[in-house]
Amino acid sequence: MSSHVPTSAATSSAQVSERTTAAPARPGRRRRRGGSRPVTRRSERFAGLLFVAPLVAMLAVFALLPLGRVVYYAFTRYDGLTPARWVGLENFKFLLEWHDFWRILLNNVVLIAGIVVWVAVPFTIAIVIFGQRRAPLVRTVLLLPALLPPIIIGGVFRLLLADKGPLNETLRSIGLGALAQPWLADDKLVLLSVIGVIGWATAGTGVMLYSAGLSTLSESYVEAAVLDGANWRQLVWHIYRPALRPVTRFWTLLLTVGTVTVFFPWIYGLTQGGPGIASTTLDYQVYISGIQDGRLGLGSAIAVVGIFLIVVLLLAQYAASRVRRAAEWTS
Amino acid sequence: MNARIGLRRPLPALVMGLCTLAVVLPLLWVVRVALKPTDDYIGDPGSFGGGWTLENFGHAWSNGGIGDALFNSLRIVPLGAVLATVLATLAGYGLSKMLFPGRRFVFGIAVATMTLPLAALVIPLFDEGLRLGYVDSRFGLSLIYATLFAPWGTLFLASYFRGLPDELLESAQVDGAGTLRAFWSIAVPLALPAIATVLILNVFLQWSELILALVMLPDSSKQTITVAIAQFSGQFRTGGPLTAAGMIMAAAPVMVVFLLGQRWLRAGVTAGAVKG
Repeated sequence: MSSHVPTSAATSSAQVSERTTAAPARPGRRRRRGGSRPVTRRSERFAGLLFVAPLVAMLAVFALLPLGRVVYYAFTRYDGLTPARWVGLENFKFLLEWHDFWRILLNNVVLIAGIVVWVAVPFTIAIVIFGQRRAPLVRTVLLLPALLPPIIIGGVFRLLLADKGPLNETLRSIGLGALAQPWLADDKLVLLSVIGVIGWATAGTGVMLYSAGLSTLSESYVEAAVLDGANWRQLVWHIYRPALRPVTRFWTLLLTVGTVTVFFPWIYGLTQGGPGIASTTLDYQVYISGIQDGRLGLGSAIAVVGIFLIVVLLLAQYAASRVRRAAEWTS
Repeated sequence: MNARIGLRRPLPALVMGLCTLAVVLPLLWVVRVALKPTDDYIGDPGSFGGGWTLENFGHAWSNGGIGDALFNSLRIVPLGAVLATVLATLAGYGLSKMLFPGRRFVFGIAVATMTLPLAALVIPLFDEGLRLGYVDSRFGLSLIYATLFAPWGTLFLASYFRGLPDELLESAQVDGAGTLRAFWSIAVPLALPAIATVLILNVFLQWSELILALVMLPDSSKQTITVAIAQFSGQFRTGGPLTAAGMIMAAAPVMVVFLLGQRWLRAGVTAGAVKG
């Protein structure tokens, strides 16, 4: 919701439907063999280049060049004023021995594990409310948070979850004072609170995607299972879960590139990384070390670790889907 | 469907009720706090009671800098969103309807940029920006946004253009139209709903962006609306009502864009969905 990729409703649903109807992943490849492309005359090879040239030029200046630089800086000591000095692996050695860094890395892993919640909750809600008369209205209401910038959602929940805020006060007033917690001030609880808030913000999009998936589902599966005496839990696990797997895969990917790549505004808005470093993420620490403390080399090294983590996560998701597909083929 | 599988009636109703409350109550609470005199709030931040006032909005606007920040965001975001959409439309068309050497490479860098954490680019962009002079330049930030928010739109529009029948473009060329003409007079009008979707979502994404805005515009007179909100909570620790009023004003423009663009968005979605 916060990054340079929309986690928001419109594109996602379009893309999901595209996926479920099996659009070829590699564009044009197949057609090229068919040879019926109208716009591929020799002179127009260059026209094609011209169409992509503006994007490529801009990406080169504002994405690829900076990417090269951040990798280079990761191996230097650099304060932004005096020239960068090559120090080899020193920054990474420092990170390995820096106790706080392991906590920061762990924080990231815990928040990434939040994906399970961000997927499971909308999945369940979508199934439970599917087909109800008022479901469209509820789905629209659930989408409201998707329109709000993360920094604002963070602000909203800082008001709500404050020590003497409305949530705790309500709990106390109805005799559940024992459940009142320092939601954002306790170093064990804070990450769960962050996961909850991000879940609140993303649930509507997830519910919408799963509902779109459900509506394309053939009812005969469900009917057959019911005839065989499947109970609700079995139905969800053995029918809905596999049938909605394309949606789950897409939604997980969207959460990965849309939310996991940019925890920064959530953390900044909710906790500023605290208490202590209990909710500091890699990208927040890039900002603290690299920009606020002026240690551009160290900050870059942390950024490189962050890129590495995303790449590993995407590869894992890719591998998981490949393995599953292979298993489906062989069974 | 659920009735048939023996899911008892109260459960769906209960879930729908809880979902609605879970979304509506927090938002209502913010509105309530924004309308509360600061003194009443500090005394009892967890109660719905207390007086009612509108002056928080005025304070947030002028003293809190929300007014200036809105103006800054309005100078940065629409331009950035339009540029991103132009880049995405051109590149999306090129990638889907034309063959040229290096096409897969272009595809690759678009995907790579999309998956790159924004924080990873912040340090080199700041450093480079200091040298080339686009730090503290609102136009510079527009260009950065235009670039980093173009790749997803490119992929989205490429998949849309791919769905347009080649025969259409072919017939235009038979009639003597050049490549540009086929693009401009046929492909673009047909893809308008999808292009509008990209534009609207870009407005929203760029409006929400924080880390680049925070780093690239250190001069506080140039800060964007998200940065203003971020600073707000720091400056006015006790000022729940001011923060709440500021947040409402910050969210209002995006809400308006969405209300106005809803019809277009829906058209974009259905068109994208039918496309296949």
